[in-house]
Amino acid sequence: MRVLMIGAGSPPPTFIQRQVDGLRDIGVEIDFLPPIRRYLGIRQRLLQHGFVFQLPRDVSVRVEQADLLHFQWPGHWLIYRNLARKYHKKSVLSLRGRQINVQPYLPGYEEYARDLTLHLPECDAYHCVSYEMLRQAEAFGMPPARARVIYTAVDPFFFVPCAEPIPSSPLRIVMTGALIWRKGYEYALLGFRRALDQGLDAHLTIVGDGAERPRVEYTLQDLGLDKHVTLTGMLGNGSVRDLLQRSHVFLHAALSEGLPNGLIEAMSCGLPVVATAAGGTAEAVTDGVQGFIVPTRQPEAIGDALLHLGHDSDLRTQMGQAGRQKVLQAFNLQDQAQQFRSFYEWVLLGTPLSAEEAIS
Amino acid sequence: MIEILTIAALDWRNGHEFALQAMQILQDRGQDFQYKLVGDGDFLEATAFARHELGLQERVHIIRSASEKELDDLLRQADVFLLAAVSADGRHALVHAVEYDLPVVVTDIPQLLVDIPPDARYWVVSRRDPHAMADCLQIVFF
Repeated sequence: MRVLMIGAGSPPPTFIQRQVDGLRDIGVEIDFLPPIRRYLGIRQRLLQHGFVFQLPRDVSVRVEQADLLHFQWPGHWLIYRNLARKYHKKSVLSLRGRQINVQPYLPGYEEYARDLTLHLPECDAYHCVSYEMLRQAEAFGMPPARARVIYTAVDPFFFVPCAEPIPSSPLRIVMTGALIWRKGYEYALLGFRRALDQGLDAHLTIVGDGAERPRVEYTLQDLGLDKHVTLTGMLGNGSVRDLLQRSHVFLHAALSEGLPNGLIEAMSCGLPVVATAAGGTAEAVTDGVQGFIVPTRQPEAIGDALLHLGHDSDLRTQMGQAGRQKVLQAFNLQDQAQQFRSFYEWVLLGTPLSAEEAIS
Repeated sequence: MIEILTIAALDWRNGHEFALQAMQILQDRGQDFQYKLVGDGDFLEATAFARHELGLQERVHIIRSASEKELDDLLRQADVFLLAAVSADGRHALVHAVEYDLPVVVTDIPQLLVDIPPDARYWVVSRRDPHAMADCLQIVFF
């Protein structure tokens, strides 16, 4: 089986690269469509509106050789969907987050929202990162009977818990992710401030970089958190794992999500989590079992949950172990590769999945 | 119906998410109001998403550009000017609101308060505190 990934990026983001590596390990051939915008220019609009023409040879050969086209983002589907028709290929589309649960609701994206409603149902099948994402995509006409949820996954034998005990004080809290507004860092810092004000001895480390770094830096100064927060910038996978292994609690304050990779990595390392009920997060964390789920934009709830975990090391251990078990059961990279292969086979064979199977 | 107005760049420094949370609190309390937010900028996506997430599409109007005449009309029609800033460095029309003798609710940034004459009608609330903003608006204007 040969799958052509469209819109995977160069280099692909970590979660796509992991998926690709896993599929290759079990014998699925993966190719990437080169960025074809540069070939298309003004013809991109024509392509988007149903005109199909001869592609450059190096591009068309790759499309012809593929059994299946896997569009990584709805935006790419809207532009390049006619390739599937021209080359008589089956197509699948990944639905992950922002392009379904944020972009259609923005001023200036009315045409995008309209096109999504018109053309989303035309794809042969859909990969959703969570059941919440599946539900949100239904609002744009995606038939749930052609959708399958395949969760974000990590290698649980790379992201392993720390073998050595770490000192229990101060409480080491860690956040990972891009510094962008959707991750809710200002609310996280307010919650952390609240926990400190109520007597928690803690330090917060934030891993990642992005457009909101000035906002994060300003907020932590304005809240008097300079000495309590470390910004590391971007770190590689190994360094992230080392940091997770030296931490007690993972914090995730997102306002909008698909299903956060950083959360799964932390759970795999045996960390209890405090996470907002954004997107599919509550499918990974049952409130009170692997950690605490709190409402979005509620710093008081974040602070209270941090205090609770900070004062109860047995609870941290218990929740961390439950999180590790959950990852082994539901977010394991090897299982994800098998799920994708079976998904692709299902699409190529054209066997419809019942609605119950798809959404159960 | 009370008309609440903000004229400020869509910039995180102007604290729009907290203002919108205050609007949600007022809506949940059954207050009758419209909120006009005039401005544009990098924070449009976050602001528009907050309006959607908080269920404020009917109450909150994001006006990305307005002529001088339109701004003049907005300032004359409004009942109160709200500035939920978290920093003094954002661009906004607080001074204009004061010139129009519009009551002002403003966050506790000392550099912002310098621009407000002592005889102006203004109320100061804690920054990043939607409940304080909602309480102040409700007590004074509803």
